[in-house]
Amino acid sequence: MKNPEGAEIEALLQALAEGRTEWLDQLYAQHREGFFRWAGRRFDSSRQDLEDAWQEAVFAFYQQVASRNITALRYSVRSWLFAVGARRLLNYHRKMRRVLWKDEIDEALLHDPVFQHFPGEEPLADERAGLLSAIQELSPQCRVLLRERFFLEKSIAEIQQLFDYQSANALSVSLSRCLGRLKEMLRAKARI
Amino acid sequence: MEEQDQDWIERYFRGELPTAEQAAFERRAATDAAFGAEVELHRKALQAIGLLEKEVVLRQLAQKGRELDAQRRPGVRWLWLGSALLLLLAIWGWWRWGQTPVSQPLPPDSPRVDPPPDTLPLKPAPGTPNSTTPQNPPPVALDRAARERLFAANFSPHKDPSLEPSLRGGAQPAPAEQFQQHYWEGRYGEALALFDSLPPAAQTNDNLLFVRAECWLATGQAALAVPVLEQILRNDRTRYMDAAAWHLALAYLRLGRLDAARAQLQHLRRNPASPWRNQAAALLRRIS
Repeated sequence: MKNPEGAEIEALLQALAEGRTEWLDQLYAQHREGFFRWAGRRFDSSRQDLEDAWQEAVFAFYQQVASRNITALRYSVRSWLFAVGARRLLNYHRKMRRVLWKDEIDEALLHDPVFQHFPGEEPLADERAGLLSAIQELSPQCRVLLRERFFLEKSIAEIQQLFDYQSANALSVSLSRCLGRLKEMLRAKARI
Repeated sequence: MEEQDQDWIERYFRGELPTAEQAAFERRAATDAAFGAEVELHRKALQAIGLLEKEVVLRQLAQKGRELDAQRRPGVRWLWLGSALLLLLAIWGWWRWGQTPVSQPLPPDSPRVDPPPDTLPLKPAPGTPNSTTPQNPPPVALDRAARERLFAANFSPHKDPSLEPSLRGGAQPAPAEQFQQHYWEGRYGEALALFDSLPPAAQTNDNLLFVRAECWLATGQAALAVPVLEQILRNDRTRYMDAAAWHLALAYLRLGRLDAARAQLQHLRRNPASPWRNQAAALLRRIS
C-alpha cells in the first residue's frame, strides 16, 4: 500500500471497519516520518510527543472508521491524520510556531470544525484505570464479543456468522450477559 | 431495568433513533433518575470497551515504531562508520604520502614473525616519551555496569498476596504450589528446577510462566525471561500484566536493548493504570 488512493482507500476503510488492525501498521509506518518532519517544523515538541500524537491520530482514524463516522474522505488520509495529530499536540499545550508556507492541513486545522473535536476527551487517570480494570476482569470471549458489537458496531447477524453462533438469540443472550457483567464490575468499582 | 429500555439505550448510543425519539430519550434520561443512571452506566461501559481497544492498538503501534526505529538506526550508524573510516583512510594516506620510506627491507631469508591474531598492541607505559595522548574511549551512553546497577536498583521479584502460597494443614502441596512456595521464599533455582516437572497444562499457564520469568530475572538470566514476558503480554491472560510490562522493560535494559527498554517504559509511563508509572518515568529520564 504505497499511496492509498481511490480503490485502495476503500479497501483500507473496509478493513478497518472490520477491525483488521494490521492495516493500521501500514498506515502508521507510511506517514510517520513525514508527520515527524511536518509537525517538528510547527511545534516545540520532543520526538516522543510527536510519537504519542501520531499514535493518537492513527487510533482516532480507526475509531472514526469503526463507528462509521468516516465512510468517505474529504481530505487525503495523510492530511486527516496530520490534522488530528496536530490537534492533539495543540490540546497538550504544545506551542505552535509560525510557518510561512501554509498547506492544506494548516487550512483544515484552522477552518474545518471537524478537527476541533479531535482527539476526543479522555477520562481522568483514576477513572481510566477503573474502566480498564473492570473490562480486563471479563473473560477473553466476552471482551471479543463486546468489541465486535460495541466498538466495531457490527450487527448481530455479522457477529453470528463470524463466530458460528447457532442462533441470533444465543448470541444476543451471550452479549447481554457480557455487557451486564461489565456493568456490574463498573458499579462495583464505583462503590469502592 | 426492562429489556426494552436496554434496547432503547443501545439504539440511542448507536445513533439509530430518529430526532423526535432522541429528544424523548434525553427528556426521560434527565427526569427519570434510575433511567439516567442506567444511561450513564452504559456510556461508561462503551468507554471501557473503547479504552481497551485503544490500549491494544497503541501497544501494537508502539511495537511497530520500535521496529521502524531499529531498522532506521543501523543504516545511520553504518553511514557514520563508513564516513569515519573514509576520513581515517584519507588522513593515513596523506600522512604516508608525506613520509620518506626509511624502513630497511628484511633479508630474504629472515623469518617473518606475525603476531598471533589475538595479541593486543603494546601500550606504552604512562609517562614514557613515546606515549601519545591517550585516546578517549568511544562515548558509551550506558555501559554494562551502569545498566546492571539500574536494573538492581529497580528490580525486585514481584510478590503480592495472590502469589503467597496458602497454608493447608497436612496435605502434600501440589507441584505448582511447591513451585510458588520456592519462589515466595526466594529459592529461585529450586523453583526453576521444579517448573520443568510441572504438568503440561501448568507449564503453559501464563501466571506460572510469569513466576518462571521472575525466577530467571532474579538469577541474572534476563535473556531467557524476555521472550516469555513478551509472549504473556501478547496473550493478555495473566493477572500480572502490569508487573510483566515493567519487568520486561528492566530485562531489556539489562540486556542493553535500550531502544526496546525506552519504548516499553514510554508505554508504562503513559499507562495510568500501571503502579510502576512513576518509576518508569524516572528510569526513562535516566536512560534517555
